[in-house]
Amino acid sequence: MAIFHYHFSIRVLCALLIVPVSAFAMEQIANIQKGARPSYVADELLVKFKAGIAKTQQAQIVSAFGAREIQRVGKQQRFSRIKLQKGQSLQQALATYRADPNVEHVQPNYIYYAQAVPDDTEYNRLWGLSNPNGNDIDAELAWNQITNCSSVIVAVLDSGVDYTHQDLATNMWDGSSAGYPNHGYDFVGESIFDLNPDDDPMPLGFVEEHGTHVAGTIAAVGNNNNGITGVCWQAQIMAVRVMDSIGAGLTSSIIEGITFAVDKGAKVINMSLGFQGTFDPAFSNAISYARDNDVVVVVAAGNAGTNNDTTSFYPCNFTQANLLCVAALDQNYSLAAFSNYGATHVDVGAPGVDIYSTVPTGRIFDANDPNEGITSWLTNNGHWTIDDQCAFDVGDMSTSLTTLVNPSTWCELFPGSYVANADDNIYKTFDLSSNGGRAALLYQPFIDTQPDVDYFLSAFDATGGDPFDGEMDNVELLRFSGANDTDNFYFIHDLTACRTSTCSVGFRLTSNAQDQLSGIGIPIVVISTLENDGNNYQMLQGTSMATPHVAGIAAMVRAYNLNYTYADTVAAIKQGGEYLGALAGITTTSNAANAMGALSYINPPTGVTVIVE
Amino acid sequence: MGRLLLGYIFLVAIVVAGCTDSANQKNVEPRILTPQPASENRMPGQYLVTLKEGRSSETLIEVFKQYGIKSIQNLSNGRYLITLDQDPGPEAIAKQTANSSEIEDVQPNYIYRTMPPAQEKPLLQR
Repeated sequence: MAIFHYHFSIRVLCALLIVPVSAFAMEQIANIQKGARPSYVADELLVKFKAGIAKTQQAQIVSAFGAREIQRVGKQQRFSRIKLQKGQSLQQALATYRADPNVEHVQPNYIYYAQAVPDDTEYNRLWGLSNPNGNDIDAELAWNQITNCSSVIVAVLDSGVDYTHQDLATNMWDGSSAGYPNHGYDFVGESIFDLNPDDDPMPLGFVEEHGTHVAGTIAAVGNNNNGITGVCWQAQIMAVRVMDSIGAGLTSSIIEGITFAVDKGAKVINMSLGFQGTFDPAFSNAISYARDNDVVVVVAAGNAGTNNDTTSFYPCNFTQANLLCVAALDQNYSLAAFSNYGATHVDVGAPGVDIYSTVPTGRIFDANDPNEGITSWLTNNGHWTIDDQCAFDVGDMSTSLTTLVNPSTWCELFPGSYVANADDNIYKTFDLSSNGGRAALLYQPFIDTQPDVDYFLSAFDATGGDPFDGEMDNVELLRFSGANDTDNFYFIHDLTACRTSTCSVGFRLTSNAQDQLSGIGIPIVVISTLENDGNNYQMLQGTSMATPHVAGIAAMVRAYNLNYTYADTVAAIKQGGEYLGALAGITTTSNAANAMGALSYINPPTGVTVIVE
Repeated sequence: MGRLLLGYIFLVAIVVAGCTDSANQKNVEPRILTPQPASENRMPGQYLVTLKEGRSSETLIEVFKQYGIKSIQNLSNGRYLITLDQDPGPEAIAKQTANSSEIEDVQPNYIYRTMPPAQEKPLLQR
């Protein structure tokens, strides 16, 4: 651990723990979770008598209180280490000695531990937790106090979590007794265009890595000699899938996800999502519902590099007191170039650049790549063709893409139309064999067919061959008519039932004799698989990655002190942060979130009445 | 022809799908691929509706039947997700329901995004 850490530990411990221990502080100490490492000896005190108090008188005072001196400590032997009588409470003894006019100072006998370093094999890649230059959240100091946050449920509202991942599996929420055996819920189904909720929040394929990455930063299993550790070594991760495979999610799914998490007992919610736009009342109400049920909600500031005070970004810009909005910091603890900021909306910074964490294990097949698949694209009559010079604009880039087209002139300036009485199939076979695990088919077609007459279809056949050959093993995925100008811009289908060595996937165009239109072009066809029990990791960056560092700290704080409310937790994270000049004037606190600082933060007493006479 | 394209996942596919010299492209007016179905960041035709106390979901049918109703889904906390065949747009919907004795509030179903890696990495090149 760097010198910086050592200095910081002394500073924090001295300033926040050792120096006068108020009755309020003691209340907090007394509430520390049972599983946390003790921070003081339960039946000992250090008492400093005032100058001039003779040793015999000191001994009388000690024995009068039913205790005994066991050691003289300190440079000038002025501290007495006192052993309390059996059954005497530390808090009561502190009050008794403090009230004695002969006593100058009294405090618990604190316990210091060697800094905790987990044995996870990739631990040295987690600069956000332990950075040689000292720019980190001081996780190791915090771990001296607590590593186990399993008394707290942390809901990850995202693209699902690979709950079979070897570094996450034992830290997943067990909802089976409540009827949720898959560690959460899925409020999406296949895509935002086809909401079909179910009780399985497992990502559909490897492409849905986002939520799994976030979950790992919060609570990948620590000290298991494998992979990484999260901010918490143990926790209960509740997976709530509200975003689809391309990372899009609707207000309706998100508010249902929040309600689910709150109702099922989550005390911290992580939402690494957002959009630049207008105020969303339903979403805001859901945040309020979380607040009213004492739930902390941690959200991302956004990755546009813009000021959220001038360009609204939600949910960051909601104003509920249970909301923490997080900017991203790089390894030098400068604001990441991509990170949004805002003096009135963004609260703290946290590590968000080159963050290494858990991701699913799987593959992505680009079906339009001729080298993918165990066959090339096959057709039943040649009306479908493959055009590798079809032009598209992607953002500011003009490019050409290999595209499945029908008619063959679809990419031309004047494409013509598909044939009358079309019955045109195109399909390709892939080896998707697996010992278990899911798969998804994603594609973005441009569809223009005669509404309710001509159809575009997709299907698969787990035994190979033409998936439209009329055999019983054909599984239809889509039947679409008309144009997808305003919706259904992409389609995602669960392909898990096609995890065979001969999974054929295909598209079909059918028409009648009249009014043929411009047909179909499919520039993007992707198959994504996910293997169970994976142990894969990946480096990502973004405010999405900063947010779970803070959610992890929130879980840690709430686990450390079970009586902490959302307000206590938010205050501890905001005020217990580490001052950072780079955040001054662009966040509400000017602080980087700090785990040790948050644990050490002691709220000022509230409800104190001062009477002036 | 204005077309939208998907997010970074499909951008990835594009990379491997075979980018070539734009001089060889055939169409004069390329199709546009974008990640969102609408520039307004909302799902076309979908609205979140809260009814005034005591009103039943049948009220929704009365209020919105002129647009054709694809589906009505009961959400938590007394809210409904309604999907319309013809979308008059949020302004028209808001105007229609502003003084309604049936509707407490109505809003679009907005689309949010996960915060993708700031420096997008082609998935297929991993």
